[in-house]
Amino acid sequence: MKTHEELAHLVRASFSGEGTAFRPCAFFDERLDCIRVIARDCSVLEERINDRVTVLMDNYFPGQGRRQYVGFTIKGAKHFCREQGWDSARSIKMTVLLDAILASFPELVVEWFVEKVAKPLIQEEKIEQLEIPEGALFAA
Amino acid sequence: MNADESALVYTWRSSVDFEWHGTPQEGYPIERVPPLGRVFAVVVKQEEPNESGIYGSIERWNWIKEDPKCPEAPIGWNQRYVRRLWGW
Repeated sequence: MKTHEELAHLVRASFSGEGTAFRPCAFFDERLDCIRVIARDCSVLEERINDRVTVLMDNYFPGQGRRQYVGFTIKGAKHFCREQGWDSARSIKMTVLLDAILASFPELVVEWFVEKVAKPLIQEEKIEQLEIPEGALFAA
Repeated sequence: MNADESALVYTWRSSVDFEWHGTPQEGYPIERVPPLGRVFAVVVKQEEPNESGIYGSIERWNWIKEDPKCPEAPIGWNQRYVRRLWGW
């Protein structure tokens, strides 16, 4: 078992050359074929909304200054983007993405997720758009 | 849609958790005791072995509520994953 100092050294070394701290973001994870929205860098408890949508919660909520919902993921991102007619190498507004999620999964629990979790999260954290990388929708 | 079929997921009831406090360069880990009834899940993407004999990369990690009927497995594991490779 490594000591805390050894762990800290390993983490700092892995970040060497990266000068910026964490920022809330939305990105297309090509390797796991999902869209990931992360508003806070913390220990996360994930809970499935349905077989495609998962909400991410702070593992230590409630706590001072801690928000309950810290992100979400959409599985099957390539298929989902193709269904919407979205191309690679373009930006999608987060509001458009959330409307598309709601239209694709017209379930009460998804409506709750979009209106009560996702929309407030992206507005408060100013996560405005998702970039679909060049060639992402055609990669194996 | 099937990217997760080339992923391995390791889950266990970890007794310890860490969060990073501060900036990447000057921060430090804070040890925490995870809430009961949760398992730690690490997703590993399988790859063609490289010259160092590395067969995969850790892609992400999260906590998931534990299946009350299957110790150390996440709730709904049989819907989440294609198949169970080993375990109790």
